[in-house]
Amino acid sequence: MLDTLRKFARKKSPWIMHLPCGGCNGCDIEVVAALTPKYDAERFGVLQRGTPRHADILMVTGIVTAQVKDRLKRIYDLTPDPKYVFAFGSCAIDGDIFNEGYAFKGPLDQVIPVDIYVPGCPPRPEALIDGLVKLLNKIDLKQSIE
Amino acid sequence: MIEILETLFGLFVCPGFIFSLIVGGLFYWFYRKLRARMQARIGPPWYQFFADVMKLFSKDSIIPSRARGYLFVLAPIFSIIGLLLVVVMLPIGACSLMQSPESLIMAMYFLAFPGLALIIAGVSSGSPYGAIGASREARMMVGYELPYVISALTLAFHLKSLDIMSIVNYQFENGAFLLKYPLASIASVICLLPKICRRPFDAPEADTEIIGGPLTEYSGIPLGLFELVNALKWFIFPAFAVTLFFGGGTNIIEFLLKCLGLVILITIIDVIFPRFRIDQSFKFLLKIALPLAIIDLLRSVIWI
Ligand code: SF4
Repeated sequence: MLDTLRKFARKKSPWIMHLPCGGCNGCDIEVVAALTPKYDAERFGVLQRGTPRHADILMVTGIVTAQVKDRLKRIYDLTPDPKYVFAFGSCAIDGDIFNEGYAFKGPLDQVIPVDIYVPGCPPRPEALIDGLVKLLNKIDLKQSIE
Repeated sequence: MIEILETLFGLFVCPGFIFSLIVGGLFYWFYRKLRARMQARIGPPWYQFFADVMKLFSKDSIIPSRARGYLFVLAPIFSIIGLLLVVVMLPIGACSLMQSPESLIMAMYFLAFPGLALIIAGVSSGSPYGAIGASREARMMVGYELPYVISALTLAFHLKSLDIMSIVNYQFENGAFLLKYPLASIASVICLLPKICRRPFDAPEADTEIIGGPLTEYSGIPLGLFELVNALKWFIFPAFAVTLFFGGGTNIIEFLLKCLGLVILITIIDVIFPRFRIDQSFKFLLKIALPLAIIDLLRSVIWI
């Protein structure tokens, strides 16, 4: 009973912290567009929060640069459990066009554990919502395995 | 023994904690839904607030090493207790649980608890954003407490009584105080906005400027408690205004409908106004709300 409630609550209220690392800003605009009237992510209970302490999902966009690497790890540690990481855009997955740049410090999943990847340069807001739904279903699975 | 049980039931179930939590949660959802509809969005489903709270209670709670542990955890509890003590004094549906000849003064004090708790939370969390939020809240409090208290005192002077019950009974016989003291009612409704932390007076919690304001470092259960405080605020502040100025309610349904009307008014103001800067809101409260309240106070003192 308690478990069902908890599962239900976690699926229905994903709070997002948007974490732009070092991309071209294209993905950031798509993330914001997902919250505006046309796509309205709030109907799934999504709220954008400014602090990692409130967040369930870290939405990382852009490449991991030398500047941001340690801070990214720290922000990951600041987030309370259970937490999920959402790699949004090709930059976060493999570096995309910045792949051979001097500031590129490896794909995101070598810095912090990633739960879902959404490729695209930039992905459309529909892709974000689709990825979110898949992630929420995964939360369900993860808990039943535990 | 039966009396004690009855009091406990009243305090925790109806019209106390659980009742006001459910009504407040629904009002809070209604606010979010209406705001979404006014912005041409769909908005969250009705159980959104309860899902948020349950999720937060099932999460890890981190207490930062720079925070003052006990104050950090006690701040939300402090504010819940204050609001609960007010709700037993309000006549929801014509009679209240706790009656005393000085209940108006007591209620005014307890209604200041949430603001104080926010200041304590911000200062004790040891984060610069928390400190900024707390200082903003403290500055706002100087602005809004004065007109809020003066507009309530107008009624006390009119009736020569500090009992909330007598205010309500008077309104049952002679019509709402809104018609007799319109300026004081307007001042009181203006002060509701900073009390519930809504635009244009939401500078203390401005999430686009100072992250989360006083709540920046909160997570898990303490944050969930603050969400509960938020829902209680959405019920209790409109309920208090309805009791004082809008004629109360002879039964629960009428009372809740009047509260809902006030919630709709607050939502419309929240959606159509941008945020005031802290100095602008301070000036607005002291230059517009305070004179309105004082004019009606003088009317009630002189014309009797
Ligand atoms: S994935 Fe493309 S759009 Fe997104 S940040 Fe990288 S380069 Fe910009």
